[in-house]
Parts: sequence; C-alpha cells; structure tokens
Amino acid sequence: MTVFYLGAALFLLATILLGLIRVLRGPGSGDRMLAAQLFGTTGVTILLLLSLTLETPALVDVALVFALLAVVAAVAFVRQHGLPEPSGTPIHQRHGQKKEPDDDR
Amino acid sequence: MSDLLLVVFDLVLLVGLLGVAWRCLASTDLFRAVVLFITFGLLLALAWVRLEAPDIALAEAAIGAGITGALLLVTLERLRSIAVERRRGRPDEPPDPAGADALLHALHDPPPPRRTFVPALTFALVVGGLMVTALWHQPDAVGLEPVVDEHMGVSGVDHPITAVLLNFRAYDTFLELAIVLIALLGAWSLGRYDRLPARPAPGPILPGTLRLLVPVAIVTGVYILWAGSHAPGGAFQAGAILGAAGILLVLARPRDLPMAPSTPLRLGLAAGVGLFLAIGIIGLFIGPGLLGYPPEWAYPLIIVIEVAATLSIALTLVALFIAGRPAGDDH
Repeated sequence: MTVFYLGAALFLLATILLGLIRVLRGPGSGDRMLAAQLFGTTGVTILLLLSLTLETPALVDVALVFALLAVVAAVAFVRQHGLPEPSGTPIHQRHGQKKEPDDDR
Repeated sequence: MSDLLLVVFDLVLLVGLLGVAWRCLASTDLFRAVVLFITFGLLLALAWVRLEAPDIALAEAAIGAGITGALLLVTLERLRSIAVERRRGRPDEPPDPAGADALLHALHDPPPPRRTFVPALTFALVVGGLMVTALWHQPDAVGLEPVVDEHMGVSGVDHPITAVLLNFRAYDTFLELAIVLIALLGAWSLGRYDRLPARPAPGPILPGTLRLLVPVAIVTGVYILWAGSHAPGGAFQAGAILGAAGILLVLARPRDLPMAPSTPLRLGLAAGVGLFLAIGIIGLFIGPGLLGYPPEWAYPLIIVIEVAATLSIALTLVALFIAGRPAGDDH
C-alpha cells in the first residue's frame, strides 16, 4: 500500500509540474491564479499521502493549514485584480480587445 | 521499491523547486512572478516535509500560502494604481520622462532584453562548486539531538522543538519576536495608512466564505498553538494562521475598515515581547538566569508566553499587511 500511496504522490507532483505550463504561458491573469489554486489542492493531497507513507500524523495539520489558507490569495486576487490595465496586456487580447468599463477610473 | 520511489519523488521535487525559482526570478511579468512565488512556497513546504521538519513546513504553509501571496498581490495592485494615477496626469507633478505609460507597462510583460547566460552560469558554477567542496567534508555529526533529549525532563513541554525555542534557546526566540515588532515600527514610521485599492465584489460568495472560514481559521490557530506543547505547532504558526484570518477580514472590506482603538492595539502588539522580557527578568532574580524558568514553573510560563506571542504575531502581521500607522494617531 505504501508503494501505491507514494506512486500517487509522485504522479500528483508531476501534474503540478505539468500545470506550471499554464502559469508560465497564461495568457490571462485568471488562468495563472487558478492554476496556483489547483496546485494548492494537489499539495494538500500530496501532504496527506506523505503523512500516510512517512507515518507522520503532524502532516495532516500542515495539509489542514494549506487547505484553509489557500483561499487568502484567491480573495486577494478577486478583490484587487481587475483594476485598470494598459491596453495590449494579455487579458485584453484574450477578450477580443474589449474595453473594460472601468478603464477610465 | 518504496525507497526508490521516495528518491524519485525527491529528485522531481528538487527539479521543480529549482525550475520554479528560476522562472520566478527571471520573469518579466510581475503577476506571473507572484503566482510562481506562491507555487514555490507550496513546493518548499513539501521539501521541508521531506527534510523531516514538519514544524517549518507548518510555518511555510501558514506564511507562504496565507500571507505572502496576498501581500504581494496587494502590493502589485498598489503599484498599478499609482501608475494609473500618474497616467491621469496630475498638474502638480512633472511629466514622466519615460512616457506616461512607462510605469504601467513595466508591470506587464515588456519584451525581454537580449542577454547572455555566461555570467549567470559562471556564478552558479562557482557558488555550487564552493558549496559542494564545503559540504563534502562535513562529518556525519549527530547534532544536538541527544543533548536536547537528555534535558527534556526539565523543559516543561513534550515537543523538542518547542523546548528548544521557548526554554533552551529562549533568547533567540525573544529576539525574533522583537524583530517582528521592530519591522512594524519601521513600516509605521514610513507613513500613514493608505486605503487599499479594491473593486467591489458583488454577490454573496465572498461574505459567505468569510463567515465560514474565519471562525474555522480561529479554531485552527488555537489548536495549532495548543498542539505546540507536544507536536509540531506553536506560537509562530498559530500567529500566522490568526493573522491570515485577520487579513481575510481586511481584504473583505478594505474601504470601510474600522480603525482599531489605539491603546489596546499597541498593548496587544507589544504583549509578546513585553511579557517574554518580564518573565525573563523575573527568572534572573528567582530562577536560574535571564530567560530561564524554574523547572516546576516551566510549563505554565511557556504557555503564557506562547499565548501572548501568538496574539502579538497575529496583530503584527495584520498591521504589516495594512502597512502604515492608523490615521488620526499623530498627536
């Protein structure tokens, strides 16, 4: 069973590295942020699997803290991001050069 | 088989850490760098787990996931709103010689300049070579583990890390707490509180999330503090979790943030350092020395110090996040 858990953890770690493509290429800020949020969820799973294989119950606490606090960055993103950006940034190109309504603020 | 898998896991983790760190530093888009930094924190926490340091993994989880990401995102937005102000062109400001949009564009993917990798590669090779030669001849020392184990009986707690942090090397922890307080004083001396830029978030999701999450975060923080006496946890981690809960509240209503009353706020901020120092000085007179406790009193004293330190750290982190001293506080 240990081998299975470790294999699963390794696979999940590989998916994080694969998901980095989305962070690096974007194109929009939302794509990058969502990829990071997904990494957080994957990280929680890896921590739980490692806690089983390494027999370190304290890792469950680490996973708990991660699951709880990953939302802080998301809230910061939702509240802060989306203020005016210069034209020509990826997020504008993505939405077909649409002018944001609050672009003149 | 499972040993081999662990080695592969470590190698993949190492490659990921180095790759993310490199892309984070080399990124020309600041937002991408921030997201990469959040990812780096996650991988670093996993690395601490593999190094058998769950205490540090816990601290990295609380600070890396909860606080640093939000802090960097808000800073980026502040920079952007400054740039927008400048673009609007205030009459009392001289025009930017680099063009009105220069700063705003600097926050987004400018074309990467042509560069050569030779200096960076040479630097990496030299530093790497020096580290390898320095670490190659390290004797396989057992460290201080036996010494700590021998004295656990008089420490007052069951977790060796907490025993070292709050009893055997209490002086270091005291100085760390003082540094956190001094950092806040530095931030306060730089200016008054400036409102965070924020856009309205319509809909019930954000308030609903906060109503669910903030109580859970407070319970978790208290649990981590309590766990510190016998398992990984303690004041710094608990303070970081409670601080993240406070930051959530700050983010939820940045426009109409109620100002904390001045005197209780300052008392709370200084409680950790003050109480630690007071107990330390009492130890100088009736105990074994400065910051030393009589063994029979060690457990209650450590608990008192940890509770005060947790409160101070949480308040300091929130105050550092808001940055700038409260308005109407200059008399």
